[in-house]
Amino acid sequence: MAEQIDDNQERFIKDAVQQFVDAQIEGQQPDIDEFVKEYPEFEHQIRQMIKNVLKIDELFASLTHAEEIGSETADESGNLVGEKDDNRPIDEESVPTASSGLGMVSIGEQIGRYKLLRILGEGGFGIVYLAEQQRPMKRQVALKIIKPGMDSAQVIRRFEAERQALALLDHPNVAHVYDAGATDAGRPYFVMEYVKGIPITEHCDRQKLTIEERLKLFVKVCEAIQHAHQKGIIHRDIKPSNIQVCIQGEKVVPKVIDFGIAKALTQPLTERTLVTEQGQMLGTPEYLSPEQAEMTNQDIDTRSDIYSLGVLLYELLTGTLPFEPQTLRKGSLEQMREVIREAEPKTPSTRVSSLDAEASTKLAKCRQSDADALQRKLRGDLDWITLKAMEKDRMRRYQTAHALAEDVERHLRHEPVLAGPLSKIYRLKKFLRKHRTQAIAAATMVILIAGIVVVSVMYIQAVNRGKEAESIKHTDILSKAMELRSNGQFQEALTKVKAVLNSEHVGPKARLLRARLILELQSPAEAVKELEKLLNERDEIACQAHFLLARIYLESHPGDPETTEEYQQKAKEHQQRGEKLFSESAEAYFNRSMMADTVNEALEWLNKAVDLDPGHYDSREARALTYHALRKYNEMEIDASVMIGNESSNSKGYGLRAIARREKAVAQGEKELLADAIKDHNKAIKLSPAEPELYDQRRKTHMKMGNYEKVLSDAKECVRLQPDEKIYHFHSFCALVASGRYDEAKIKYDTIIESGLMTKYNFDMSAAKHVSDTLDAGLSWHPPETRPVGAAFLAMHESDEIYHQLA
Amino acid sequence: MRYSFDPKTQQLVALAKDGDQLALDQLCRVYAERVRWMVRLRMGKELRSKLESMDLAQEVFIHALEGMRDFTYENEGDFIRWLSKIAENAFRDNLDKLHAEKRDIRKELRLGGYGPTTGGRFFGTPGPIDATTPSAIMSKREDLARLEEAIDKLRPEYREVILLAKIEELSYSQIGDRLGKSAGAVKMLVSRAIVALASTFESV
Repeated sequence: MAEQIDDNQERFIKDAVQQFVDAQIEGQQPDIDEFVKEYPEFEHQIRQMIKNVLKIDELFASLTHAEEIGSETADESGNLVGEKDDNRPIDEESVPTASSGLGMVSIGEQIGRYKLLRILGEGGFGIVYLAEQQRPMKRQVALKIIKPGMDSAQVIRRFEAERQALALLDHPNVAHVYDAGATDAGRPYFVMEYVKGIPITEHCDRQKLTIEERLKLFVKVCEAIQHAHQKGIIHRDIKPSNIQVCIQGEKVVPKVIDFGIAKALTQPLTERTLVTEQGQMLGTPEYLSPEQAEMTNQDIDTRSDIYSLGVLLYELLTGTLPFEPQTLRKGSLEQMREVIREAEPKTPSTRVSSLDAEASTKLAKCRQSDADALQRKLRGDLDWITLKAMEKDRMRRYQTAHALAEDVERHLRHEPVLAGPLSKIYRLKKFLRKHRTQAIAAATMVILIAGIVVVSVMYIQAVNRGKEAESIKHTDILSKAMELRSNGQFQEALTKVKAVLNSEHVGPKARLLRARLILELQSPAEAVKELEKLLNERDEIACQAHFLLARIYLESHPGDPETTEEYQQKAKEHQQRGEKLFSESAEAYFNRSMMADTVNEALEWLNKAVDLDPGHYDSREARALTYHALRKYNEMEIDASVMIGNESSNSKGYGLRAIARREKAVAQGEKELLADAIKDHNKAIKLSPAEPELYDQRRKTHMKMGNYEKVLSDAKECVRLQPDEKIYHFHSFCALVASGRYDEAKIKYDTIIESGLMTKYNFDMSAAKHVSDTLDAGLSWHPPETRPVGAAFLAMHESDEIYHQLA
Repeated sequence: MRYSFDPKTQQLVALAKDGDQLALDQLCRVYAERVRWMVRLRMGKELRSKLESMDLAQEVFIHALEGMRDFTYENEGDFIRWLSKIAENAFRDNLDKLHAEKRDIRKELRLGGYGPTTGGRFFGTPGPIDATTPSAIMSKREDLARLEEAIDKLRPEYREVILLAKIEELSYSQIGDRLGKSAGAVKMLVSRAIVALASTFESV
C-alpha cells in the first residue's frame, strides 16, 4: 500500500483488472489466485482492486433484499459451501491455516508490547494469535487482528466503536479485553485474555456433570451474557467453543470469549459473505436464531443471544443439537433457513427418548444417571425452559438472559417455572400463516380457528342483545382488530382499532386492546399510561387493566434492585385490585378468555366459565373451537353436544359436532364416524340453509368419504350462496374433476380465469396444492379410468408427477 | 451471478395483484432499497439534497401498487424494469414540480443526505433492547455511501451503464437497444465502467 505507483503502472494494473472483469462478464468465474499469479510484480494492487470489484458487485446485489423472500445463493449447486469441512461447524480454533499470504504479520513479529507466538485460529476477516505481553508484566494473551485488505477506514472506525463498548465489559465470566491498538501499517487489533480452557460441552462430559451441575454452570453463562446485554453488546455467536471452561485454583469458571469481536471483524452477513472467498461459512448455523438466519441483519437484538443460549442448554442437557447438523447443512442455504425458521425442535426429553438404547445409556452415564431417570428429569420444566428460550418468535422467548437464568434457578429450587407448555394455537397459527400464500385452501381453517372464535361470538352476542346496526359495525371493527392482533399484525390492528376508540358500544374494550397492542409493539411505558386511564371504567375493563398492569410490572426488569422491588410491589397491588374487581361469572371468565394470549390460557378461563355455568353457550362454543385448535376432538364433540342440548334449534352445535366427528374419524381412522358427521351436517344445514360455511364443511366430509357427486353439489351450493368467494368456485372445479366431468370443469376453469376471480398463477398453485393434498389423504383427484386433458389440468398433472416422484 | 429468486418475485407479483397484502409488503421490502437507488442515481448529487429520495421511492411504490393490475410478468427482471419506468416518471414529475416552484437549487448548499451513520447507541438497556447494534449496518451503509460517491464521480456514460446494468439489471442487449449500441460494445463499456468504479471506490 505504501509503494508509489506511476501512471504507466496504474494503466497496467487497470488493464489486468479489466481482463478479469471481461472474463466475468463473459460468464466465466476466473480464480483470483490463479489470475494474480500472472502479474507477480503487482499482485497486491491487482488483488485489492479485484476485491473492490467483487465487493461492489456484492453491494449492488444487496440492494435487492432477496433474503426477504429467501432466495438461493449465487452458488448454483445450491449446496452450502461449508460442507467440505466434514460437516463440522467451522470453529476458529480448529482452522489453524494461515491465510492466502497477503503480506501478513508473521510469527515472531512484535506488535506493540506483544510478541506473536502462534496462530490460534482464523476467521474470514481476522486472525487470532497467541501472543506474549512483555511489559509491564509477562503474560500470554490472545491477539486478534484484522486481515489485510479488510482494513478500510470504515472497518477501522467500526472496530474502534466496538472496542470502546467492549472495554465496558467487566464480569468474571467474560474474557477481558485488555488492550487495542493498530500496527504500524495502521491495521487494528484487539488484545484479550487468553483463556486456556475447553468448550463447555466437553468439560461437562469429561467431568460427567449431573444435570443440576450443568444447569448451575449454564446460569453463570447467562449472567455473563446479561452483563453484556446491559452494556448494549450482543454476542451473536454463542456456541460451546465460545464458552470455555477453565480451572482457576479450586474454582471452575466458564468464560465467554469472542464477545462482539466476531461482529467487529465480520462484514454484514449478507448472502454472499456467507459463502466467502475460501468457501467458509460464517456463523454457526446450529446456534443461529431464526432472525439471524434471515440475514437481513437489520434486526438482530439481544434476544438472538437468548435463542443461542437455548440451543446451548439443549445441547448441555441432551448431548445433541435441536436440529441435526446433517439436516441443517445438507440442503441449500434456503433449506437451512427454512429449518431454522419453521421446524419445531423436539423437546429435550423426547429427543433423549428417541435415541437408540446404546446412545441414550452413554448420554445418561455422562450425566451420572440412567436413561429413564434422565428422561424423567428433563420432562416438564426443563423441556419448557429450553423451548421457550428457543421460540421462533423472539417476543415469546425469555426477554432477557437474566429471566432465563432465573427460571433455571427456580427449577433448581423446585419452584414453579414461568415457562409453560408451548401454546399450540400459536403453532397452529404459525403453521397456517406459513401456508397461507401457498394454499388458499388453508384460508378456511384460518377463518375457522382465528375468525369464528372471536368474530362470530362477538358478532352474535351483539345481535342477540338486540343492539342497533352501529354496535354491530363497531363490534365487527373491534373483532377484526383482534383478529389482526392474533395474526401478529400489531401495527395494522392498531390502525384498525383507532376507528372505534370512542365508540359508546366498544370504546373501553377498544382502548384496552390498544393498550395491549402498544405493549406488543414494545412500549411498556406507554401501555402503562393507557392502562391507567382505564382503571375507572366498568369493573370488567378495569379488572383486566389491573391484571395487565400487574403483568407488565412483573415482567419488567429495570435492573437496579430498588426499582425492581417497587415494581414487584406495584404488580402485587394491581393483581389484588384486579382480583377484587373480578366478578365470578361465566360471562366475566368468558371475556377474559377472549383476551387470552395463548390457547391454554383461554382454555383455563373457559373451563372456569363452564364450571360456573355449564349452560353458558358462548363459552361452550369458544371451548369447542379451542379444543379444535388443540386437536382434542373428543372434548370438542362433548361441548358441541352440550350446545345442541341447550339450543337444539341453533345450527352451530350441529356444525361443530360434525367437524369434531369428521376430524375424529380421520385422526383415529374410524371411517364409520363420517356417516354420523354427515347427519350433523345435514341438521345444521336444515337449521341455517343460507350459511355457505356449513355446506363447505359438509363438502369436506363428503370429500373424505369419496362421495364426489355430493362434494360437487355442496360446492355448487356454496357458489350459489356466495358467488364472489373465489375459493368456492375453485372447489367446484375440483369436484367436477374428481367426478370425471372434465368438460364442465374446463368451462368452470375458463369462467374463473376470464372473470378474473383468480389469476392463472394462483389457480395453478391452488390446483397443485389440491392434488398433493388429495394424494396425501390416499384419494385420487380424478377417476382412474380416464385422464383429464387440457390446459386447465396441466398444473394438476404436474403436481401429480412431482408427488409420485417424491413418494 | 444472477439470483434465482425471480420465480418467487413472479409468485409474489401474482399474489399482490390479487390483493394479497402480505405479498405486497414483501415486494416492498425486497425492492425498496433498489428503487431508492434508481431514484437517487437519476437525481445526481445536488438534487438529492432537494428531494427526499425515500419519499420518492415510496411514491414509486404507491404508483406501482396502484398499477399492479395492469402489470404482467412475463420475463425475468420485468418487475424491476417496470419499477424503473415508474421511478423515471415519478422523478420527472417531481423535477417539474421543483422547476415550477422556480427555486434555483443550485444556489443552495446542503450536505448530501444519506442518513446518520454515527453510532453512539451503546447504552445499558435492561430488558428487551431495541438494539440493532450498529456496526454491521453502519458498515454496509458506509460502503453504500462510498459506492454512491464513487458512482457520482464517474463519467456520465459510465454512470449510465452502471445504472442500467447494475441497478436496473437490464441485459446487455436491452441496454444496447436503449443506447443504440451492439451488445458487445455494451459489454465493453460496462467492463470499463466497473474498473473505473472499482478504482474510484478505493480512493473515496
